[in-house]
Amino acid sequence: MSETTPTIGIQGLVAGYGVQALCAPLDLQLHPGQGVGIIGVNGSGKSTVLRAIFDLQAPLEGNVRFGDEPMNAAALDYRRKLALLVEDAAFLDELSVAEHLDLVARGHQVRDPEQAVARELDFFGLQPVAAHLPHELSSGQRRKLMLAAALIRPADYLVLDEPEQRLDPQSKARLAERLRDRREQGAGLVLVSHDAGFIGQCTARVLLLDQGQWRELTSAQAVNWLAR
Amino acid sequence: MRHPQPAANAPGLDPRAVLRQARRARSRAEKFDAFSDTYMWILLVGFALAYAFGFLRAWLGALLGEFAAPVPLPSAVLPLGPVLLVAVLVIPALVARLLLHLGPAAVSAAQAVWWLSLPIDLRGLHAAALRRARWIGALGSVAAGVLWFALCCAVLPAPTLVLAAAALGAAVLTGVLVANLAVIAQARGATNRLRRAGTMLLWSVVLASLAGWGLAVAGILPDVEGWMRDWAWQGRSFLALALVLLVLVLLTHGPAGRAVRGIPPRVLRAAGQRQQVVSAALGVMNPGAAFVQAPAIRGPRARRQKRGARLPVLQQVLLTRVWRRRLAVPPLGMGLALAAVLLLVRSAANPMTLAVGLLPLLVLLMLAAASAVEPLLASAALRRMLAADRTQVVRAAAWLILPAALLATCLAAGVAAWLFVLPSGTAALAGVLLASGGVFAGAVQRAGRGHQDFSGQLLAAGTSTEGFAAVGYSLSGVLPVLAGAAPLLSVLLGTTDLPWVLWAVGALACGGALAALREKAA
Repeated sequence: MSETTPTIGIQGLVAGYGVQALCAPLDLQLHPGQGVGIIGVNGSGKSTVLRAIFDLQAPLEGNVRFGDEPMNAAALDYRRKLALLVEDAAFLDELSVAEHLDLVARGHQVRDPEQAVARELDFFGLQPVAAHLPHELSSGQRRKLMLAAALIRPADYLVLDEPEQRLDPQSKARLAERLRDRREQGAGLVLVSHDAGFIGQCTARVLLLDQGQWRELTSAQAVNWLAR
Repeated sequence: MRHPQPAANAPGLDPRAVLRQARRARSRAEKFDAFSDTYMWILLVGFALAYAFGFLRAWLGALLGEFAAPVPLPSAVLPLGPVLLVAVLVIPALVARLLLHLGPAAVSAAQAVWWLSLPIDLRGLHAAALRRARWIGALGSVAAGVLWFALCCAVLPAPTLVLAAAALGAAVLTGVLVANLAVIAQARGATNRLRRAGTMLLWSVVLASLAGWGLAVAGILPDVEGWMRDWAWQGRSFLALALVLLVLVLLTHGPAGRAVRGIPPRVLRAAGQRQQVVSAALGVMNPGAAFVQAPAIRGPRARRQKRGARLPVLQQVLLTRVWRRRLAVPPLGMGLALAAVLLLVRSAANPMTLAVGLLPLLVLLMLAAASAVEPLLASAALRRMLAADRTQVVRAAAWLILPAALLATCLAAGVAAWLFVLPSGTAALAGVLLASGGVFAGAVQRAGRGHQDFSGQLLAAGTSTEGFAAVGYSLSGVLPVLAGAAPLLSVLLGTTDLPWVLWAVGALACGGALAALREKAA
């Protein structure tokens, strides 16, 4: 962790499109080492809220602060301290799997980037396709590459939109364990997921976005809600 | 697992260098592929430009009455030179609107994910985005220079090289200036406001042109042609204009460079997505898909939809697509422009203008019709959902396309019969039927191939062969239109004895689609 880890402060945030709000105002404080999972049905606006919190989309109302500054995706602190997996998968055609990870590791000045790349390739089972170009990968392998890029770098907060998507059960369990480890080591965790078991393994705090209203649930309540 | 740690004093990273190195590391065969791809694209662009210039020159010749004598109409009083001067001035305004729609500064999705998010100096990425915006502006505006150059070739006995070069240079500089200003507007979040202002400006130009026509009818139009002779046809005027533009470009160069660094990443990302959609749609000649935004279905639209509910479901789908995607706008706009030129411009009231204007109008009609029918014809799954087979869809499409094509061609034949001399009414009627059938056949052929799905393949095309295949595929719907319209165009031009080959080719062009109408429904 960096020596000064800022808090994420959300005040009265309303996300939506045009003039159509998708949620009631959200107030939330997130500290290093804490995690929060966001659940809700398809189309309820979970990902839109996530994008609005992290300045990937303009919010309709409210503000978000990252430490003492407004959340700003162009700021150096934002790029250094927040690891996001919110966008759709997109890759640089020229670079192989290993080269993509190497770019991220070097860009974030990871100590011993070659070793870090080898570690992530090994963890996600991408070693056999390390020299492949992105268009030669399956959709699951592409997903794993995006996840590896988020995890290879140092980050004070991990922000992941449905990270368990397209993963086999074994990979999913290993990923949940790793995210929990990162949180216990001091990283903040923001997850959107439809998998109650996965969220429960990573964090105890869950927010439900149901018909535009926010409710805070325990992991057990989240499991019940998703299983209904 | 161990938490990744940053190094204490790691050197900075330049992703451009990483990408260059990766490209260099490609095998020799891949390098040769890349070289041959570039070579083929340059050849293709060269041929396309040569054909475009030839078509433009022929079109101007038609407007100037070089190929067919114009008829004296009381309404056709405007001289062509000033009209085209207005067109040349409008082109940069249209380029500005396009740039404001495109961003203009943008990063691709891959750049956003892998480059924009790194804690490194992003000046290289921003500079590349600005460079691309300037290229788009320059390439778009050069159309104004080419139009002017073609006009020089058509009007002046001996157009000078200086005039041509200065006109083209001024056009390119205008494009760069417009791009600089658009980037500054983008950084200030003023693109939507400026686009609205641009629309008002374009309408003002239309109204001013109509006012000029009114003055000309009344015989009190100032001596615009004399002014053009003294100023607009002179190389020194364009040199002065180019110099002024150069100064303005230099003055806005620095502010644009600073502004692009202040554009929020989310705005750059969104612009990148728009540019991807536009380039894919234009690559397969589907401009409607490039600029249409999904409308909200509320109020009057919802009521209209309710009224349309009395129609069979296939017709409802087609009409809804035409309405919501505003598919009728391009052919209607072209038709109105053609009518205005024919009736208001002195030398343009001749059959050749009608013929060369009708052809792109029919192509636009075919493209619009194909866009309307495409999901139903290209997707078997969608047809199954609607419990319809291909024949039913083709028949529903005929219900939409044939009346529109018959209306356009009948109007053209009617105008020709009114203003010019039609050699034979029977031949004109047969030409109208074949031309309408050609539009129908082209639309069905194009829609059946699912060109919109193809746009994705074009984007992903790794080699020039795949890219060419995509472009060629999307052009295929145009051929039946050309073949079907050939007899009518010949009749409009006053040809009395049409060779039987023209009729045969026209009949063959629309025969396949008409046969599809008679197929037995499953």
